[in-house]
Amino acid sequence: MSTPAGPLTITIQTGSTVSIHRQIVEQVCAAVFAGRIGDDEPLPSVRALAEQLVVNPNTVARAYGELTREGVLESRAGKGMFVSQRRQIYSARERARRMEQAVSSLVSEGFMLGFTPAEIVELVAAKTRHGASSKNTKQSLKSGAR
Amino acid sequence: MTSAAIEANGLTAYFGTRKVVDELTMSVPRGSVFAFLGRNGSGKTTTIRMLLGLLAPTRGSSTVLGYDSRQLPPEARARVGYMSESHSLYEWMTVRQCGDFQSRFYPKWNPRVFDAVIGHFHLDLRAKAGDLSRGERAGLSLAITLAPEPELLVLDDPAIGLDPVARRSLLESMIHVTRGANRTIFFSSHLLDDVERVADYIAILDRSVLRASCSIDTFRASVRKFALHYGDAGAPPPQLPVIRGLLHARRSARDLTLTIATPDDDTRRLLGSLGATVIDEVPVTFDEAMIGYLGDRGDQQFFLKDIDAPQPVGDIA
Amino acid sequence: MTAFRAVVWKEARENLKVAAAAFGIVSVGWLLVLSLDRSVASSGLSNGGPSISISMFTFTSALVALMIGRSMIIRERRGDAWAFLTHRPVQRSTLFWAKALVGALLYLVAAGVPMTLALLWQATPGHRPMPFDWRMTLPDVADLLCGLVYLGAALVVTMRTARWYASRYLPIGAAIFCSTAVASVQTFSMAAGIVTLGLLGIGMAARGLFIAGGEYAAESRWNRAMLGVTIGIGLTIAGSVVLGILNLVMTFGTPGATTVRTTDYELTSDGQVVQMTTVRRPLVASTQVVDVRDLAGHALPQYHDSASRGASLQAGVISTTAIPINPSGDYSAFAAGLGYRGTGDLFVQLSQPTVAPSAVSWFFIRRLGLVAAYDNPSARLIGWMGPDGFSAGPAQPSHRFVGALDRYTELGYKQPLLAFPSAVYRLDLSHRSITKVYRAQPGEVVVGAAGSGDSTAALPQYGPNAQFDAIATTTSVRVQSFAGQPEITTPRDPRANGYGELVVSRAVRAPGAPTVLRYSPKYGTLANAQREAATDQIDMVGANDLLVAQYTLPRDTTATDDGPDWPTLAVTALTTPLVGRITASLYSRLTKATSGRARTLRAPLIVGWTLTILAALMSAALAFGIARTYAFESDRVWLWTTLGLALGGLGVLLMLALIEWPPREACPSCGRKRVVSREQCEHCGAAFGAPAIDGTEIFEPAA
Repeated sequence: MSTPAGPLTITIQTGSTVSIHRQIVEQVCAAVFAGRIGDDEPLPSVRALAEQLVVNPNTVARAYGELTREGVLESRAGKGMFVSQRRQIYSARERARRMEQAVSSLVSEGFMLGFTPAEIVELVAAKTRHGASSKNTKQSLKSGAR
Repeated sequence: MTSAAIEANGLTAYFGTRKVVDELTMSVPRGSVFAFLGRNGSGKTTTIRMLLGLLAPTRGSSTVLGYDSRQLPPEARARVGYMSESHSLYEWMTVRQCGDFQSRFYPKWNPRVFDAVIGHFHLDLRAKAGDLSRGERAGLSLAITLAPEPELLVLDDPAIGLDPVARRSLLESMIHVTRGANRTIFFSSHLLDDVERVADYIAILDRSVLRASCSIDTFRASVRKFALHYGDAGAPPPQLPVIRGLLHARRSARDLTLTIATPDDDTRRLLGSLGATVIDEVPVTFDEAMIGYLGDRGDQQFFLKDIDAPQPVGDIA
Repeated sequence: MTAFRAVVWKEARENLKVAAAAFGIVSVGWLLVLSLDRSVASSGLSNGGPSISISMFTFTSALVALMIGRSMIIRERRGDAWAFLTHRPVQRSTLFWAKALVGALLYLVAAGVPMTLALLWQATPGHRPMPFDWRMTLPDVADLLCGLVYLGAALVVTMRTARWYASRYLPIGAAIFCSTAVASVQTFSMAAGIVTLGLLGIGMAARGLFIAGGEYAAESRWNRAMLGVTIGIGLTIAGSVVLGILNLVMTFGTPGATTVRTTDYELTSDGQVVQMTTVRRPLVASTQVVDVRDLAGHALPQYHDSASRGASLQAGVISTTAIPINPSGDYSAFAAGLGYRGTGDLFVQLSQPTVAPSAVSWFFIRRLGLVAAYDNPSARLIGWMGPDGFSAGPAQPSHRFVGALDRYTELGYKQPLLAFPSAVYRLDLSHRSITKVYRAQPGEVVVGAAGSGDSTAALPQYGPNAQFDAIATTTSVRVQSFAGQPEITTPRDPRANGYGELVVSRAVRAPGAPTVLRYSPKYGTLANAQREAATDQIDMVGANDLLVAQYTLPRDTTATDDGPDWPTLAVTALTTPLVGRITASLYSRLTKATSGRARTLRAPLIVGWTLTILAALMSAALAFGIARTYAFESDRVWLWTTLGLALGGLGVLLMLALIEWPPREACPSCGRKRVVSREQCEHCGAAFGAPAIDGTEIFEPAA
């Protein structure tokens, strides 16, 4: 089961509040939006990824299905899964909902850590200036499955 | 022929006058990896034995691959792999003899699968089964269970007593099995991490009664945790009223944490009336949700709370 | 088939150790028997003779069969081991037959090989001072085969889930029953038939249990019936043992409660025939004479005290043993060692040196018509005795005895008589010589002969009259001296036609030394009705063959004095199955086989029947009640009620021991107690509901 070599690295954490299915969706999304998967690079097949991560293939299949429905990935007949050409897939409402979710969790985390609203705004502003160029430092996990 | 791999209908078992399994009704879809969960002694093994026709139920019925459990013909048994809790083997046989012996019964025995699993667990073909370690035993047991390429794999607590490496090998083997179309795995386990990884359906047997049987996502979505905080000024957490679906409640001086199954708007309204200053609905992990089911129900405190910490010795002023 | 062979291989390998232990046990048993036999034989005290019908091997073979049978199942009877064995794509019956086959083979080897070796050893000349015939191996072969029934019993015992611990072992009772039957029947083919039947029944029971995983409820009707028969026989055996012990306790608890009064007729020393009444109190006192009177009914005061009786009643009365006088009579019941377990129809041991050791053992070998002599210390054949005398060495003399030897009764005599149809011989074993003492006259055939015995101690006291031989032919009875001098020749008493036995007695001290011929209808050829009425006939013969007197005696009678033994009668009546009582009563009515002794009084008969019927009715009611309580299907209710009626208490015990009883609990719908193994309530028809909901349920219809 050779996994296509690629910068896609996914870490599964059991015992988390996030389900495995959601962990896969989020980490693929992150990789796609960080540009770490090229347009012509196929993603690992459902089986390959399931065996690599040691998770139920149905879970991977459902994650891929969701990513496809959301327009992040697309399936090319006979070749496998690829990053979708047409990135912008969310409806305006969906985009708003997702942003709202992310911001509210950020804000509540900030309050909990004792930041003032002004400090939080400042930090967000600084972060948006650096933009998407920041590097993800996550270690590549070649699952011990082999 | 039904579409379910396993179907149980009102399955009930008594040992003497003790009810071990109480009216168990469930359905295991074909192609699923189905985890059968419950504490020791909750009736899992008895249920599995009844499903496989190894024990006659006191009443109720079940089918396996569409066959009546009580009269499984050899052709049905050929399609069902079963690994018992104790990893039964004939101790005096060597690893090779175990394989040879087992292969005589299965027309579709696949020696490549046997060799692969044996190799994966690094087993010596000449070693006596009785001399193997717990993990090696599990490997050999798994090898002879997988080699006939069963359509339905029934594993009774396969990971019991295994070290992390052997456990991982076991999981990989299970995932390997799902490669075939419509292969079903029905297994019991206490290792919730493993269950979370590989299962797509779960059933929970709590003191001989089935409490849940659903997909793992439904389960996660249905069990919620609520943190109720009581400000310093106000009253402390009150006695709890009857809350439908309450699995678990933990209290400290100013906090009350409730784990509740399938809460609805009524539940939330009820929680709102408990006088808490803040109510947070916090996410719950899979094992928290499971422990909510398997542990003691209702209002709990930390069970060692009232025992004082030991005083340090030799602390001379 | 390859699966079958794999199981056979596995079973053989797993049970090899037990088989080896079994081999050891059987071997030790045989060594013990052989060494004992050897030491006894070489001392010349006794060697075999008519063998007893059970031997050490009867026990060891049964024991090791039980061991092996248990071992075949016990490790795999429960839990995961049972699952591992049975969850494979083969029929359970295939697994069972593989196990049964291996068990049987291991048993046959473990028990059969030592047996064969021991028999071969016995067959080798120089090992036993007695003739050997291959037919003598049949009792051991029958025991070996009967062990297979024990093997089956052990399979049933080990497989069955039994409610009471003791009831688990009942199938062994059925095997014991088989053993007893095998040891009692006359021919080997009957024994083999019994083993076959036993094996068939217990084999079916074992197979059915194996397929049902040991659970009665899961069995088919036929297998249940077979298991029922097995357990039923076991219960009967166990019950008989319990009743036997109870009877003993009752007898010992009230010693002397029963007395047996017997009236018999004796020849006295003064040549008179008297009626003597004796009383015996079992376990308390020896037989006591309570009354002596003459045949006219007058009391004879001179015999009233025991001292005078001892001195004069029977002193000087010399009798022969009973002489068979009916060529068509059936003497098998009394002939020693007949049937396949004995050697009686192969050879007759002439000297029975049980009292004093003797150096030589003598055997009349029927097939050869010769007497063989064996030296006891060396266990070797030393020569042959034929009509012409003794010839040393293994070569058989050419001249042989003609015809069949009569029922031989002269055991232990140093000078026994051998009666053949055409001649009677006297053997002198000490001097190894033979004399022809009588030759049959034309028109007659010798049917039996017996001497007055060669204990010559009485001779000086009573004179030569005390030693005589009596020879019965088809037409006459002849009494002659040891030397062959005819003393009396008298025709057979026509009143005793069809009678079977004759005893010749002589009152030596009476004037004229009268000789009494007493004919008895025992073993004769009278029809049943005639035998009922027939009584002993006595001819008293004086000098010159003169018939001095003839008596027709009333029957000897035996009756209990104290009336019926009510407690025993009650216990027997209450425990006898109705069906058994009816069968016995019909049988005795059809065959009219009631002897005077068994003729019962009317009151005990009525009480007995009443109690038996009462017990049957109560058992039927009990069985009906239990069956209804546990909600049996209506045909099973009636089956068990009928069994209760027919078998009485046994039927109820069988029901309790056989069936697994499910618990009962309150019906959620109607509140009455219901059997948990039924889907619908037997009272209100409701199903058991799902368990109470506690609000934590998450159920999702499967995708």
